[in-house]
Amino acid sequence: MKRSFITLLVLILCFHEVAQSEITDPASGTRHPASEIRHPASGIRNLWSFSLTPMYFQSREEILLGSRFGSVGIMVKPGWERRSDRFIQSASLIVGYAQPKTRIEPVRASVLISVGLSYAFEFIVCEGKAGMFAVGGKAMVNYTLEYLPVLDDSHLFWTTFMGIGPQVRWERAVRTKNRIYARLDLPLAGFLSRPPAYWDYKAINSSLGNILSTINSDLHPVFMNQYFSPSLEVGYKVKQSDNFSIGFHYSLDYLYAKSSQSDLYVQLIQGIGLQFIF
Amino acid sequence: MKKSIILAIFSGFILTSCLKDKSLKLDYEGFTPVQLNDGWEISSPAKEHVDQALLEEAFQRVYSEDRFAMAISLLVIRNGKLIGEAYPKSPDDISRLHNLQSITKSFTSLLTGIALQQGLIGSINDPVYQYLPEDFDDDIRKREISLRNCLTMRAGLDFDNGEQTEELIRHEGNSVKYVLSLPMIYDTGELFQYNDGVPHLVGSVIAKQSGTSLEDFASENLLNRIGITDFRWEKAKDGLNFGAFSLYLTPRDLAKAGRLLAQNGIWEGEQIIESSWITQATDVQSGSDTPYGYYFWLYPAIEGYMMYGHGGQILYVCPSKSLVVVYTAYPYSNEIVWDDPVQLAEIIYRAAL
Repeated sequence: MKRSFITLLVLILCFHEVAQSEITDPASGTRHPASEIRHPASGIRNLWSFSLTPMYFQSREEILLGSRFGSVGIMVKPGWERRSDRFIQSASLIVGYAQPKTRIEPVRASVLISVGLSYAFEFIVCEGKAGMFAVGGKAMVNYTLEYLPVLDDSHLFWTTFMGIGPQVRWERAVRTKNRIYARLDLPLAGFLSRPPAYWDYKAINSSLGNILSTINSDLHPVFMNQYFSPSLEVGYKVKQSDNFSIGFHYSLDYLYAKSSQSDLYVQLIQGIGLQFIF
Repeated sequence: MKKSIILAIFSGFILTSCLKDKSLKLDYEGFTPVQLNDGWEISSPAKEHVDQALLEEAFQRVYSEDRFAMAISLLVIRNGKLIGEAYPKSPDDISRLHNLQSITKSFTSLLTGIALQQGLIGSINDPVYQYLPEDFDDDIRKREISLRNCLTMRAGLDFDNGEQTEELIRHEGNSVKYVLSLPMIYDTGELFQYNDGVPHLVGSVIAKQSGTSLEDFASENLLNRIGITDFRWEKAKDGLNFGAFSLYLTPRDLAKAGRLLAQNGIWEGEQIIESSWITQATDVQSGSDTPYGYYFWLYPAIEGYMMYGHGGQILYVCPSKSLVVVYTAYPYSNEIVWDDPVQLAEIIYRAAL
């Protein structure tokens, strides 16, 4: 657990350092807020958001014979964004919940909880009538924890990933005040933890401390060929006032995770959600 | 316009995309056993007087019906010869060690018979206290629990598999003391209560009396003697093998135990377990709806008995027909998705003419 947090912290700090080095004044060596570099007069905007996304969740856990689980669920996502004329920083927490079921289970008893933390730093590459285009990187830690008591009443299933990858964003003003946008990110490398393909003990220790330790255990370095997880979000934001907007979005998250010690896990989440931006 | 159509088609495709529901099993390709150099003689249903069509039905059901979704292997042995086997999930399962769950209890029973033969245990009427006095607490009622009470699941200790099994697995201290620390809820000998605790006491008595581990005792006195060299048996944190669960064997090696039982304890001319113990262990000693011997479930309607494990694993032995059936499945699935594999045994029982 401790090692995982340290790994994540190092990833975020390295990433942040690279980003911040781009906005250091070379003459003085001191750092300034991004907005002061080229547009000293312009302000930096901090935006807070909260989104609620009903989702359709599907997964295939090959440790459990490759049967497809599916269900509707819900995702909530509080987020923060800091915008200047050249940079966008953002951070978010995503929490998802679903009760997936396979066709062979007579009852719906499974529980899925996913928790994701991410931090992104993007450079605004161009901004004009055609819209704004930003490219940057993202550091993330994603936990997917499943308890599937009908097919396996003795173990927890998890997919833990900590890594980094690029993120791109495009936005365009519509009818002056409103905006359409699309965002895509793709982890390139990181660390993955998955359950073993063949279990030992009948039951694992189900105390909270042990669960946390288990889902952070045995982290293996992986690249995109073992952890392929593009995430796309397209949406429309309607400005209600200077300090408040409402957004509608569609999101698609795909995950293919295959580590050497485990069998394949595939996940597909589609959501249509509502976002409140302050 | 063209752009909009392409966008609409693309959006429709994305919105309706689904993960493929992979086939749960391989395609059925018959049940002819593979010849390996592992001590098994291969034969055919016809040669061993088994109805080919009924046998085919049993194998096809395992492949085609969702109620056998978690199936890993099905093997049929007649007259000591392997006449049918299939591995619906992966051909690699033929050599993969498989957690047999509570089938382990029946092996503990067989080892008890061997320990009696060797004089390591005087009698199953002996109280467990006689062998493990240091592990008992002050409750004097527990000192009356006999090995027989343990073998018939009538010890009276409040061991609930839902909670205490997990605790037994992760208990840091003395695992025998843990089982014996549980309160008495019935007088010993009074009521059948199936659980994972008391076989652990029996296994511990054997280990202590033999001066070795249960695993080593089993290896030397039973498993190696019937040609089983590759196996695994999990241990509690204090190093004692679990007497109730977590013995791992390949399906073919499990079938060897069935063959030994069908041959009244004789293996290649040598008496490994006294037939009197097998008779006792597989006769009605206890039970509720289903009669129970010493860690064996009894099925008089099909003239046989079974080792039975969580997830639906069975080893069925019908001595009168010299018939053995092994069915293994994913060992951790909940009871509501196992369809009773006894039905398979019934079909195969009928197939054996």
